[in-house]
This record gives sequence, structure tokens and C-alpha cells, in this order.
Amino acid sequence: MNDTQDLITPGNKLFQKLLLHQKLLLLLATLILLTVPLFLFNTPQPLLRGPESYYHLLQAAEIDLLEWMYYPLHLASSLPQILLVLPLLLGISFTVLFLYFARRVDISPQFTFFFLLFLFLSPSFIYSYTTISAHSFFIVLALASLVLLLSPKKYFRYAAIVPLLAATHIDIFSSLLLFAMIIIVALHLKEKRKEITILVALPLLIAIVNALLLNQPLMQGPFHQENHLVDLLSDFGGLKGISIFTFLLALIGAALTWKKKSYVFLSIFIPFLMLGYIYNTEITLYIAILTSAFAAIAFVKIFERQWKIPNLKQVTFLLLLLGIMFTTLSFYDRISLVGPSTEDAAALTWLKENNDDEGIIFSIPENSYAIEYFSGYPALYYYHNQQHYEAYQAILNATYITELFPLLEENNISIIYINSKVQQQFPADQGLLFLLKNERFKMIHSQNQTQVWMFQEE
Amino acid sequence: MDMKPAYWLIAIVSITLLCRLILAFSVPNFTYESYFHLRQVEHIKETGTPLFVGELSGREFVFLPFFHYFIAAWSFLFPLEILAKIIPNLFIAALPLIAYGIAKKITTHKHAPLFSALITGFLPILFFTNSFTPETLALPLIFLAIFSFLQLKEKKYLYLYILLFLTISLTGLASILIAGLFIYIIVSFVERKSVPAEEMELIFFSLFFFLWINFLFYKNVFINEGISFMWENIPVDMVTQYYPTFSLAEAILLVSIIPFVVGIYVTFRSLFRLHDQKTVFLISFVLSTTLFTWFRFIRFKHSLTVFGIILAILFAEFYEQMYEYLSKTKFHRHNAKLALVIIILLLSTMIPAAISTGLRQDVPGDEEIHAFTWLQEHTPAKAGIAATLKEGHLITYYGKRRNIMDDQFGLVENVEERFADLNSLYTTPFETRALEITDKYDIQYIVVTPHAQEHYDIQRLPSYSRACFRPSYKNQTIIYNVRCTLKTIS
Repeated sequence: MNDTQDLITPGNKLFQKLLLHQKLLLLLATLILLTVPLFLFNTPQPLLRGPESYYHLLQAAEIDLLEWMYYPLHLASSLPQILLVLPLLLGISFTVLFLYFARRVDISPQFTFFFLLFLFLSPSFIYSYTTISAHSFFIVLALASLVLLLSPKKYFRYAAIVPLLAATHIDIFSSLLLFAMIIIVALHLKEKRKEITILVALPLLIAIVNALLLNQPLMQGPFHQENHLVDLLSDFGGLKGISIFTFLLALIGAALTWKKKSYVFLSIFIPFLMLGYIYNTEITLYIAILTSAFAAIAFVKIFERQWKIPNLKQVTFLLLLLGIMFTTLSFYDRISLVGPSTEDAAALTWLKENNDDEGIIFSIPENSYAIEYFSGYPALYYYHNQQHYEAYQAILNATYITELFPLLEENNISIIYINSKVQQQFPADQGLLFLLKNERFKMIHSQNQTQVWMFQEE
Repeated sequence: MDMKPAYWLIAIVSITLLCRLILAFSVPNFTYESYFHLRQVEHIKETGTPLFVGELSGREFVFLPFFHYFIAAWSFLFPLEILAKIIPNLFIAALPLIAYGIAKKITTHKHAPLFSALITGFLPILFFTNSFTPETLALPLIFLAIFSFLQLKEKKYLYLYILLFLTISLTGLASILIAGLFIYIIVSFVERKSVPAEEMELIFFSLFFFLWINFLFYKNVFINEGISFMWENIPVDMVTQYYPTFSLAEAILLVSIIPFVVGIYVTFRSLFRLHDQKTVFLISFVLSTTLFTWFRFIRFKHSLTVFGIILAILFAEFYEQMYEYLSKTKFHRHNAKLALVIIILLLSTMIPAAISTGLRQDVPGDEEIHAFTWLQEHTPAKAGIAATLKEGHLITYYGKRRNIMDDQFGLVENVEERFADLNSLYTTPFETRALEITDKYDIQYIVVTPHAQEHYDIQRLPSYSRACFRPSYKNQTIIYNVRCTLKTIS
């Protein structure tokens, strides 16, 4: 066998050593990849980022019995340091659980290594496990359920009901995904089928009750302005998504496994996730997991075989890995754009402490969740709630005060919040930013590019 | 046709080159977009690096620099103005040679490939003799890569392909090659023909290397523009100029009717009776350029060029089939006359169109060049100059001043607004509107060339007033000095 061909085959001793210690290496990779953003946020003190994080913190602030899922977050939110560490802990839990799961179902070490490597390097994974994300939590719960269900010990199998119950409280789509995974596991484990069915009955019932009676949403979010291509392929500017290299590898993997019985369990998720993604792009983490799986299959198949041009094999191997890492590095470059910034937190906290007005705050929807969390006042428009969308657009498009003032009064808006993102998106010489020069607007707080304007009554 | 094919080939290449050079030196100056590349070559010659950030405006330029480095290297030996006319024409004149080589791979007839060389040499779409652009290098490299790909079994061609692909990736138009390779895989799959392992490996490598290089150079473009990077951030009003809807008449004119009709015939025939993997490979490029044109993924001009050359190559197959058919009929004694008739028909349809294309190239006149050169000597170094979009590079190259806009649209913020303002400047009758624009972009001079007059159908600036727009240069071109402002001067 030609030595230059032994990249991921047993002939390559370095790679075999990597596989031998892959648990430690992958855990280390998780730790490094997820803690780097904390330093890159470039703030005097680290702050939790992402609109979805603040959405959940707002939900956790006032919980009732039906939202018992938010109780751990409710407790954690009293200590900001724990909030920062929580996503990281979830990320490490994911790694540990998946490694255990892979061992239980006999997934090859090569596939495990490359699947986790591609997944960890995906912006979607890094973003989801550095912010508070329902889907990242769901994946950990789903994995925990599967790991417990596959345990040889009976009591552990019975314990699976806890994460199963918890996992059904995210959204309907996630619940369907969970039960699809369990069905696949049950089909493979004929001897435990009856036990699994009994264990799953209660969570299934709860999921149905959640969906039909408790108005559980089909999918959480969206928490950002959706763009299907950009949200999928991070290289086009998205803050989640996957590398285009991973995507292409996944296409090759899907083509290689098409109509192969042993991979049907993966292929059935393709249409399911595609439809879900078209409806709501917040599920990029699920897409990243599926594409990483297919990409790993393709990668292993391509580089296990003997090439006619051995040198080209090495170069292509390197190109792929470099390309995927390039996406991650490019993502790190942009992650500091994810708000809120320390300035935002300071300005909004100031507002909370110094403003008695009961009105609504107007700003771009990216800021809405942080606005409500830090200031205590509601924002006009949130991405996940389209109720005030028309009013929001009308205010943004107003070019004269005769249009603007009635809109602000109708919607009880007393504060306009401007930060660097608002200034980047809208021109200063026309529209809302220009109209702020009117005497009815008073700047009550300003720090660097952050401004808080009060809209005064006549 | 008793002369060795090699002599005929040399004759074709020589005549092609001669015609091209005559046209290149007869038509004054270069095409408008060439001046951007000339400026880049000069900058590399002075500093060793391309001008990725404009010295005058601070804006970012994104492009692949191999062509510019190549020319810059030679410019140490020869004057750039001469090199810029000769080298691109040398590159394009090599295309008949390459087309001959490819045609030899798909035919067994001794003289059929010569027709491919002849057609390629006089394709009207290739007769932009005064165009100093990376495409003049990229095109022969792409076809040389295709030639090498057809002979991958020989190791030297394998390494040649890799070298060529690396070079094309740093020059431009590699997407055409990638698209063709991709369509080749799909067509082979549909026809249930297996693609040889070494070809698949090379295609994998090509695809991932292409993506990697593009992400290295165009990272910011992808992030800022997303998927619309494919349309180069071109203003909407100009998109139809770069990506026009397919015009059959224009395609026939620029490719010539005989190669067009014959090539389409061979393509359709071969699609339904694919017997040769090499023909499949070439037809994949026909299909990919058609698809890309349909979806407006590449400029019409580029896709038609590749399309034309491929059709020229496929003409050899048509000739061979016709020759074999006639050999079986009672007309077999007239085969030599057939060749002569075809040559006469080809030359009579192609040469006038090619020369016409060459003579009608869109180039600035000498007087316009003089006007832009005047700017360098008579305006402050930091002055902003307004001219039409096409003339933007003349401002930076000859005038050494900042422009409002040129045809490098990548990473230009508010490109629609900027384009609309530029047009407004030449069309608005209102002085305040014109001054609003000059204040906005900090413009001190406005250039109205005969080209601008024709384009906007004006004789002078519509918002002209003696107080605010004083002509500082008056010839066929008028250069107005902006003397008013709407800003409050404290």
C-alpha cells in the first residue's frame, strides 16, 4: 500500500493515535471552540449574546407551572456568570453524550471523529452553544434520552422519561424529530421495543397535549431576519449555518448513500428538515448535525479509497479541512457583531433606573429582546411575533413628522433606542434618524454610538 | 490540401495574429474597462503589489491578480502600452492552436481540425483586439486545460492540467471550467457511463481548490453581498447590459452563422447518440454555458465566447462526418472542392463580421484621453471628478484623481443610489439637485465627453449655470469646475 494514500486508514499511525485519544481531543476541541467567542466579544466583561438568549431569559423571568422547563434558567439568571457558562456546559454534555451514544450503537471511530469535527467547526454549533438556544438544549435532552434508553441497566432506561418529558416542551417540530429518532432506535432494538414503547407513551401524550391544548408553537422563533441561503451557508454572511465545503461534502455523502438500506435512517430526515427549514431557519443546528453526518460519510469514503493520483489525495484532504476551518475563522471574525454589546446593556440599564415612563421602546427587532430584558420595558416589534409589524414598518418609512408623530402616539412609544446597528441600517439624512432633530425628541442618554431618545408629549 | 497540416496551422495562427495586431494598432487606445487593469499592472511594477485598496478613494478592489503580475513582469523589458496591445492578442491568437489540438482528439480526419482552428481564429466574438483584460489569458488557459483533461492518462498532461487550473483559479473564469466538469459528471451519470477514477479525483480537487481560492480572495464580497455576488453587485438598471436576455440574432452575429448552426446540429445529434466520452466532455461545456447564461450566472459575452469556441471545435466532427458520407456517394471526387467551398463560405461570413467587431470597439478617442490627462496637471490632487460610469477608469488612470463610480462594482456601498446619482448629475436640469450630488460625493469637476453627450443625449451639462459650473477645459470634451455648494460655510 502506498504510504501517501494512508490518510485515515490504519496505515497512518498519527491518525490512529488521534482516534485512540479522540474523546479527550474532541472534548478539548469543544472547550476551545466554545470559549474563543467569549474573548472575541471584546468587551470589558463578557456578556451573554444573541436575541434568542434574551428571549429565553425573559421567559424565565416569570414562569408558571406550565413553563417548568424554564426553572433551571430562572435560577441561573440570578447569577450572570452561570448564564455564560451554561451554554458551554451544554456543549460539553453534547460531546460526552454523543461519544457514549456512538459507542453504544457501534458507530465507527473514524465517522465519529469526522462527524464531531465538522459539527464543532460549524458556525451553527458554535453559535448555538455560546448562546442560550432552545434547540441546543433539545439536542442534549434528545441525546440523553437515547443514551439512557440504550443503557443495559433498567433503572437508567426508566430514567430516560425525564429528558424525554423535558424535550417535548421545546416545540412541536422538535417533538416530532424526537419521536422519529426514538422510532428508528426502537426498530433497531427489537428486544427492547416493548419497553421503549411503554417509556415513550407518557412523553408522547404530553407532547400531544402541549401541541393541541397548550398552544405550543410549531417552531420557536424566528429571532432574526431570515434569509434561507445566508442562514444555511455561513460563508455568505450568516451568523449560523455551515461551511459550503461541509455542504458540498454532505451532498456527495447523500448521493453515495442514496437508496442504501443501512443509511435510510439518516436519509428520512432530509425532507423533514428541509421542509422545517423552509418554514423557519432557526433549525440550522439540526441541519448542521445532519449535514455533518453526511459530510463525514463522504469524507471517510473518499479518503479511505485508493486514489489513482496519490499526491492529489493529500492536497484535496488538506484543502477540505482548510476550507472548513476557514469558514469557522471567518465566523469568529463576525461573531462580535452579535448583540447586545456592553454599551447596549449599560444604556438600557440606565434607562431602567432613570425612566418612569410606562411607554414602549422603538428600535430594530434585533435589539428588542435585550431592550426588554435590561430596561424592563417592552419593545414594539419582535421577530417571533408579527403583531406590530405594520406599525414598525410605517414608523421606519415615515419621512415627515406629520406621518411619524401619530404613529408614535398610537403605539404608545415614548423611547427611541439607537445603537450602532440602527445607524448602519438607516440613513442619517432622511427618515426616522433625520426626524429625531425635531424638538419633540430629546436625547436623554448617549454613550459612543448608543443614544436613547425620549418622545415628548405635546 | 497536400501541405502538411502543421504548415496550414502555422499559416492560420500567423494570419490571425497579424489581423488582430493590425486592428489593435489601428484602433486607438484601449477599451474602457482595460484601464483598470493597466493601472493595476503599473502599480505592481512600482510597488510589487496590486492596488487592492484605492489610494485616492480608499475603496476596496477585489480581483484575481495573476494576469496583472504576468504582464508586470514583462513590462520591465518592454513598454507597457505596446505590451498591452500585443500580449492579449498573442494569447487569443493561440486559441486556434489549442482548438486544433482538441479537435484532433475527437476526429481522425487529417484536415478536419484545421477548420476548427480557422473558425476559432476568426470568431467575431474574439475580435475585441483592444481589450486588455484577464479574460484574454483565461480563455486560452481554459481550453488548454480542457485539452489536457482529455489526455489525463499521460502523466505530463495530468500535471499540466493541475498547473493550468491553479493558474486559471488566479486569473478568472474558472467557474466556466468547473461548471463544465460538473455537467460532465451529471451527463455521464444520466447516460450511465462511468467517469474514470482519475477524472473524478481531478474534478474533486478542482472544485474544492476553486472554492477555497475564491473564499480567500472574495470573502468580504460573499459576506457583504451574499448570493448576489454572482451578479457582481451590478446596479439593477445595468444588469441587462451585462446579462442581457438571450438574443439569437446577436449570438449568430458574434459566433457566425455556419459554426453556430453546425455546432448546434452536432450537439443535438451527439446528445442523443453519445458514443464518445470526449464529445460528451465538450458538449458538457455547451450545456453548462447555456445553463449559466439562462440563469445569468456568467456574463453573456463570456458564455458566448466559450460557446463559440466549443462550436468551432465540434465543427471538425461535422466535417469528418460529412466527408465520410460524401465518400460513399458519387460525389466523392469533389471532396477537395467541398473543403474549398466551406473555407470560402466560412471566411466570407466570418471575416467581415470579425473586422466589423474590431473596428466598432468601444474605445475612448484621443481627444478624450487628452482631456483626462489635463485633469492630472490642472486639478488639485484630492479633487473628485465625475464622469460617466465607463469613463471612471480614465479618471483614475490618466487623471490620477478620484471618481464617483466605475465598472468595478464589488463592495461598493449603496451602488444603486450611487448609480442613480451619477445619472442624475448628467440629466437633471436643476442646479440644486446637481449641487446636492456634487456635495454628497465631494466632486469638484464634471467631465462631459462626446461619449457622455451621446449617451445622455445632451450638448452640455443640463443644470449648467455660469456661476456654479465654469468650463475649465473646452474642446470636444468639456470639463466643468464646480464652484458652488449647498453646504453652510462657517
